[in-house]
Amino acid sequence: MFNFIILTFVAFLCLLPILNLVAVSFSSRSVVEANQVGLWPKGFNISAYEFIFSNSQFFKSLWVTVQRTVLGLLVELSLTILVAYPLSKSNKIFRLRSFYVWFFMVTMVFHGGLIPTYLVVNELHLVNSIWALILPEAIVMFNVLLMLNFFRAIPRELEEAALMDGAGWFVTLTRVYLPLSLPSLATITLFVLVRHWNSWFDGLIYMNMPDQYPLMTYLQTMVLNLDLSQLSSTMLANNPSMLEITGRSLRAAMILACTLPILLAYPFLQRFFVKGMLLGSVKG
Amino acid sequence: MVLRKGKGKQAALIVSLVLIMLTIAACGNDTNGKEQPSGNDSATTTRPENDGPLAKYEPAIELTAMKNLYGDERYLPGDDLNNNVWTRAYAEELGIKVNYKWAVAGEGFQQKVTMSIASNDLPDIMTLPAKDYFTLAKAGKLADLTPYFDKYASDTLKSTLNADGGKQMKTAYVDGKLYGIPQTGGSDATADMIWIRQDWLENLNLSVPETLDDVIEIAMAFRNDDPDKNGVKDTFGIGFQKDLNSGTGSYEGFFAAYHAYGKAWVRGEDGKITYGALKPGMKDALAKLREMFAEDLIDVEFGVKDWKKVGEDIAAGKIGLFYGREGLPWMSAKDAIVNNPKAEWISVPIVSSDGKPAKPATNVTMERYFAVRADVQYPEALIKIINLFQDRINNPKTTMDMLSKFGVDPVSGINFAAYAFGGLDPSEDKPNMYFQQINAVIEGKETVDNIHPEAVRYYNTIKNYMDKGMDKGADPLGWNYYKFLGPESSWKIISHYRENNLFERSAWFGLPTKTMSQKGATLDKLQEETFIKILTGSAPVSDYDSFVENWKKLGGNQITEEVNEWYNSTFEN
Repeated sequence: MFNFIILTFVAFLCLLPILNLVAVSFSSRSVVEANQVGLWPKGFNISAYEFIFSNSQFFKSLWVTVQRTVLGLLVELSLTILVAYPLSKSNKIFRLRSFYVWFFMVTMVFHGGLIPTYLVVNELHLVNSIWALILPEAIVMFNVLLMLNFFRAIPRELEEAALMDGAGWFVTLTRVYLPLSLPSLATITLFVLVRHWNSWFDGLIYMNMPDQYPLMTYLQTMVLNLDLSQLSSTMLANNPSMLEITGRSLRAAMILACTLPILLAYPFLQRFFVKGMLLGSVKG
Repeated sequence: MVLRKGKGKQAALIVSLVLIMLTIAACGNDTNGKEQPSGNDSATTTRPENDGPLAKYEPAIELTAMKNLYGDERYLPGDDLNNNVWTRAYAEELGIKVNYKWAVAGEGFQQKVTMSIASNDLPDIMTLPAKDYFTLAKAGKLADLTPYFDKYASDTLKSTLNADGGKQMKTAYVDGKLYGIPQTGGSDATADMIWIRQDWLENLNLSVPETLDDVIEIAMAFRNDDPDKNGVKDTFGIGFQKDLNSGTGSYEGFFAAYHAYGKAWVRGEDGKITYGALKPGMKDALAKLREMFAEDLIDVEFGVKDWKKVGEDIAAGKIGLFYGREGLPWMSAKDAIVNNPKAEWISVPIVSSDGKPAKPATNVTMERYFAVRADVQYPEALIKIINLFQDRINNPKTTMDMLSKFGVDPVSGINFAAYAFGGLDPSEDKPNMYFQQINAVIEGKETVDNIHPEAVRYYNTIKNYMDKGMDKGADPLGWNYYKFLGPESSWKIISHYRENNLFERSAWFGLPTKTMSQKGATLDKLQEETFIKILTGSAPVSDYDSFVENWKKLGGNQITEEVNEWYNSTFEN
């Protein structure tokens, strides 16, 4: 009971900043600028959300992000599985294993750096296409290691039994290994989803026009650039509608609108994090 | 087993060698593969016969371009960056089809420029950050505009660029040649003034300050005498924040009372430029601030508050006296009024500690230059494009319709000027002119027909606000414009500075010099830490002397030399 109270309290503490963000997003500009909003909105209004959802760019960017997340997930999951499976075999079965392990491990330690990476993507004519957001990071070695170790933990006897029954390597992978690897697949799925949803920098450098930006790049340009300190008052006098977009309520609303979908993904993946699938498959 | 292992290693070696070869081959063969498009390759185009600032190319030429955006761009239905009122005007009136290769807002701009330079993929006409402009100009990547400027720059463009006596324009020359047009801007708007809650002054029967002692007296009263009459001692005497170079809660205006400056470079009568923080008055200024802090006039938390946090205190009605700039009617001062309709603000010129008038510091930053790639066939096209913006927006003869079509459309609120390439404002602030014009009309010396249409818009709002008895609720923005450009406005203070020749314009506004980029951050930190320690009483005032010594020793002397060198080579030949 004591633990329960403590943990609930800690969980609530984590929620506070988000609740404050919600309250700010529904409050009126001047109250927010005076920092007088706590956990409950003051001067309730929804103009921040009206502004976001009346702007078609939000939906364009949302679509780009959905595309890159879905495509990226498919590409990355299949490549990760295809890399991890052979590497999980022993040197006896896969003779070049050590070489390939090092080949991939190098990428964990050394990076080309920003400009060489950009040059490669540019020369491959990927700039300005959705693939520029997907291919450069299609294999993350950390995920491969995760998958590889999970495959290794699966008893060899299962594989031997499958091979004995006439299955090839590919069938063994798809029929035996993958169904047993749901927890690690779910973990990697979550990693990939969150990474694709959250990354903004690649959108900024690989996309040429703002209407091709993924959601987080759009959010970044809106939240960081439209700061009162960047705007001259002459510009404001000329175009007072700029005042609307400099408010903290709008930023709070943007942040919420952009992160809510990915927050919702967590509970749905939760149920795959179940262990004990192997129980009873190997006896004796 | 052993044999096998050996084989594996051998194979690995071979494969890695092959991979290395492939990589080298891939790197090698593409350097000459891609020819740069020459920009305007229609061989049949010749320069128009009566060539001039706005003459049209027949047939049309094509130019690629890049754009830095504000981030809030909105378009009419069917329009986009490559098809809007400006690109259509370039095509129809100048015969120039502008294709934007890329566009980006804010900090991403520098990233994209770096990428373009690294991949040798520069557009024909460019907006370049100052640093890249000079690098590319020295590397011979930019077209020399010297022979074209006089012939093609329109009178409006020339007067726009010369509004400050051509100072900003002169920074664009590299070894005596002009490679680009600077994006000029005004510096008057960076001058400090004092903002005071007028209702608090009235509550306590105080009058507007004329000397620094008056300011301190007001600060005392605001701290101790409950100016907002709520029975709680919850107001600060005077608002300051932690940074030396910030707009709201600024120190520059206070230091100016002692004829010293926190950040500005001051050019003396002997022509030598020195750092404002080394001026003799600085020690007294710091001692005075320390006294004020000891008397509890300054928020004890000021050392962790930036200008936004101080802005929150202003908006919440806790600060009623501070040094700030002309934009406050658009910022926290406005929020204070929305939160408390009884609140009212006045702005007054900065005051002096002695008989000598205080001069506010101003500065201008040269951020961008418009330039043309070296191999473009018609470099003057850039000047024509910039001419068109001047013709539509800054031309004294421009009309209200023109402004709605090419500038800000009051109905949709869309700022079309943001899509123009090479939009630049006069290097003296427009509001100076607007303030004069608007108030001449209010006083009946001028008619609305004779002033710039943009000024007419502001005039109408201000007039409307005054006619409705200065009711802050009636028109939500009426108060903003009234306090910004009206008869009791922040630009009135700036115009007072101008008329009495009271600006101390920072003499240095170039790229950071060599030593500055290496040691500037250390010196800035040293300065801020020393100042804050003296202010809060954790270090004696005499520490200022050792700061001066250290500053000079740690690179300050060298920076001063470099700054003088830059000034002399830019303006003295």
